[in-house]
Amino acid sequence: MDPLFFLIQVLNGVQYGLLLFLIASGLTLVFGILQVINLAHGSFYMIGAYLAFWLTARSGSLWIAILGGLPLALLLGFAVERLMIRFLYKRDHLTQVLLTYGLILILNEAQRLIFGSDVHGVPVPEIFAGSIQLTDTLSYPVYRLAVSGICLILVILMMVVIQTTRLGMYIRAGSVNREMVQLLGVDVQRLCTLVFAAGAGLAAFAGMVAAPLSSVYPGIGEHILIICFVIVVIGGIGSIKGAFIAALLVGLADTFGKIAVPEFASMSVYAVMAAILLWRPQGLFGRAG
Amino acid sequence: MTPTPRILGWVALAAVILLALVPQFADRYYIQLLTRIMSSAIFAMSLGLLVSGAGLVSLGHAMFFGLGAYLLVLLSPAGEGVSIWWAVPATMGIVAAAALVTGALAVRTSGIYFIMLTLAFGEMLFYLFHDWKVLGGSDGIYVDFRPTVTAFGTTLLSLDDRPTLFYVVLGLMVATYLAIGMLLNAPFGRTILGIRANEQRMEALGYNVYAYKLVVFAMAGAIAGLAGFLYATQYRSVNPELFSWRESGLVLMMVILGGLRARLGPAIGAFALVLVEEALQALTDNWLIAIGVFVILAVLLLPNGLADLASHRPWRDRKAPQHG
Amino acid sequence: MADAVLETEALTKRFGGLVAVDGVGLRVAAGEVHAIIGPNGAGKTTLLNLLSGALPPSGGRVRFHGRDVTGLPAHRLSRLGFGRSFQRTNIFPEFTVHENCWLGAQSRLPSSMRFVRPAKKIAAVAARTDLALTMVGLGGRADAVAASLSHGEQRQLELGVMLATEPTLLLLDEPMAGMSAAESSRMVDLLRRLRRDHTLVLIEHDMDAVFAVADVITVMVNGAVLASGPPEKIRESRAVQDAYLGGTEAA
Repeated sequence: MDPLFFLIQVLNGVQYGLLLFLIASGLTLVFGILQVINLAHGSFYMIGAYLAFWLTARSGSLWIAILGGLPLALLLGFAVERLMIRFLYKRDHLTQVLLTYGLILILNEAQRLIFGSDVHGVPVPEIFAGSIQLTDTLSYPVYRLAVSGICLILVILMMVVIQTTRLGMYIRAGSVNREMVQLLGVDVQRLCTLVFAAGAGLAAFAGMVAAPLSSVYPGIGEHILIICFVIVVIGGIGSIKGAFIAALLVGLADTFGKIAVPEFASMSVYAVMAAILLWRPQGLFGRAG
Repeated sequence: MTPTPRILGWVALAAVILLALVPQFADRYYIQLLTRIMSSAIFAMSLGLLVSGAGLVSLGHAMFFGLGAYLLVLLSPAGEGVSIWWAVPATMGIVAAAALVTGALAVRTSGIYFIMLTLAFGEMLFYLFHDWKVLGGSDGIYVDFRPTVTAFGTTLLSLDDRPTLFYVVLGLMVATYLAIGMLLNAPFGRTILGIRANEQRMEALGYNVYAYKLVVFAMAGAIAGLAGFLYATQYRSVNPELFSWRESGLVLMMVILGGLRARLGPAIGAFALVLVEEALQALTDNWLIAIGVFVILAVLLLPNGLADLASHRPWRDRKAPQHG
Repeated sequence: MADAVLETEALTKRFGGLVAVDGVGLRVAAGEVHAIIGPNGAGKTTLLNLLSGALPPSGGRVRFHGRDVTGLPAHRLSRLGFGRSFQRTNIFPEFTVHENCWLGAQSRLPSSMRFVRPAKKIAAVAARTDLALTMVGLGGRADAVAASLSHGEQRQLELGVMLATEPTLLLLDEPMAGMSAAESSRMVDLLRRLRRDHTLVLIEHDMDAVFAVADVITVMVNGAVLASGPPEKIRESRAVQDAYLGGTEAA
């Protein structure tokens, strides 16, 4: 394989992985701290993508769309937690699956009502338009680099918050032992709302920045949701570190799968998952048992 | 007043008799619809065995339904129908084997992990059948002839005849119900019900919990495969959407709406959900919103499902008071 | 000296950096009642989990009648004759008393992979179930739902479920936990009856009961064995007094 071509694929894989991490991190924290399996998490990604499409078309700028859309997504996450997810804390996984499944049906159908079934494109912001010419035939789009950069900044920010702040300490403790956090005198209810809304916001943000890369279409949320489930399973439930490594792994597996086994590209991710679970059933950083 | 399970049994018997009369007076549309619902009911009962029998919540059960449906097409020779005598056992056997392979990994886990793993395996099969041109790709495949039911060179039943197919599926639905009942009353059934109630204690009592879970996973898979086979027999076409996680979610909804405590629950759920769906479709294009609202309300308001008529207790050795 | 039914050698369990059970050597003779005592957090329940196969050990050996059974899963050990009862009552709360014991009794079938014949027609299992119910004195409560039993009755059922598996070696985790004085004395009677044809290892905090029934007492502190011997020796041991018995009385 041509080294430059290889490099480009690595960049693609890492970019996809970083994007996936933004979504999966929220999912894994909601599992870990709220102990709720939220099938509707992918819907926030979908909402982000459609907000980007709609607001960009209105305002002409993706940046304005993000500035306007992000608070909306956070607010929606807040509302969903307060109005529905809250009732699921004490219920079994079965109920959680069913209720969030119902939520997906509603959100998907609402999307179809408002935006229809067409595939939409979102233009790349002007400052990041164009490509870097690497050789005569190979080039790399600037926007992809920008997305990687933005995601990386967010990942670092998230790590800093989780590792150094008091809030981060509660989050870390909460994903190991929820009762313990309660004993520390933390308002767990508020922590849960915060984590859920932040997770929703991150997923929506990912949907917004990804919109110019991968057009906006119905069902976009479910595909990403299941990939993120795979990431959470590989990384171990509740583990941010695990989710990060697993996201990069999945991003690279997907990218290289498309080259190595084009006909079965979509399966490569699942093959990686099966292999890792054979070796460690609880995931890379999951607690045994 | 809560009807007793005995009354529920009589109601079920009456429903079966009523169903058996349907082809005598109903038109094609209803015969078709009810045939489809009955194969869905078999599908839902197989998942019910897994969920309320062993406590295993699978969100990938459609993979076995899809496999069963595809196997009918793949096993059918060109230019004629496949004999049902070997196609059905072969389908159920192959699907059970596939369930053993995926189950070997999935059953090691529990709770959220199990849900996500089954979902992931289902999606993996979806992509296999979606992307692989040999298996028809995203358009799916058609089969020209329905399976044949012959003995000694004469045709016993023609599945091309709608009422005949209806009766065959009705018979298999009743048979599935009785078979699952038999299973649950046998030592195996008590074992998996015990595992659902308290896995750790069952292990300490000398039960190889993993083996029992794996076997029930394979059985549920095989029955779902049968349901898929019947579906493909009815429609003579299959497509990758049969594997999709929406289907898995839908059948899980049937099981839960029907209620986890009554053995009849999944079948009731299948009839209720599909009929509600049909009614809503007739009213509005955006019926999925209504289904979503219906599901959320049902979950919040009826935590124990529509058929929460039987007691908590899984089997009855003696006449026990409801709450001692 | 009677043959050892159960022997451990340097049995160790680590959880990350924490050593919960630290090089424990134990010898339980046939027909013996062997009590394990020690303060909370001494690693007694973890030790029982290692013995019963609920947890795999990090190091050391376990032998049962001279056969190496280290690391065998709980269900295999159960079939060899290990019976385990739990500190926190671990029954099937939605099932009746009879159904609870049934599951214990049915586990002695060569296999429960039997799919056709109704379970209730298997006479041998029914007989074992009734026997276990009678042994723990719950014969009259067979049809009660387990969750509706009193605490003491649930503790009896906890033992009954285990006894229905016809074990030869009983590993009991605080059989008297939370019992009234009257219930405790009934339990002591039951343990005395059981010792006639079982070997018992029990964890217990009720010192009167321990000194009443135990042949050998092993004292654990911080995961390790502090002392082991007949009750009178343990009662007199200075180290035990300091480390444990004195502390309990003060508390």
